[in-house]
Amino acid sequence: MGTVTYPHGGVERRLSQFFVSVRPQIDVDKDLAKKFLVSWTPGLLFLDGQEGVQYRAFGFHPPEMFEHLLDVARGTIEFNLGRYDEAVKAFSAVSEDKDPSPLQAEALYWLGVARYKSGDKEGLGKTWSQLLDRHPNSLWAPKAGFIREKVATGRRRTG
Amino acid sequence: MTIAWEKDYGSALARAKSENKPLFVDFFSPT
Repeated sequence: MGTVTYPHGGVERRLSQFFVSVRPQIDVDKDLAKKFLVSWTPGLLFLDGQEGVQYRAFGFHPPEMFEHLLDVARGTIEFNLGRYDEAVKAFSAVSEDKDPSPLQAEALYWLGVARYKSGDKEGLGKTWSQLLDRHPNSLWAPKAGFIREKVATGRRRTG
Repeated sequence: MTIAWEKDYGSALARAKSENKPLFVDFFSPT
């Protein structure tokens, strides 16, 4: 991460603009690692000011994928704070990026939920349909699949 | 734009609170 990912311009910009960053060494800061149940590196945590873990991930991330991780983490934090419009912006940045990554399916899932929570009730079905079309084999597709059944049932009732 | 890494967790948490930003923690291994 230190050699390849952190020097990347988009990663630097996101970390500098949106986060305060620190790199504890796992075999030195043992108590801290134990506190947050981290026993593998890279162990990537996103905390709020009360040390609550808002999002976590493990393993090396190449730059473009890490940009997406940072935006998904930021979107998740905004979502958990109830700032749904800000969450929509962060998740959209990932889902609309031309560089593909496995995190785009996760971003589309939560983008739909954030749109729903912001008052755009139809946004949930539209966004999850995009998720099912673009990432049918992702871990997130089965969680959103019921939306098509629900939409079809609604159409039969009104049709 | 260079990342301003904090030297330790305590100072990072304090800065995160004062700047009202989330804290990103990367546990790393030197090997």
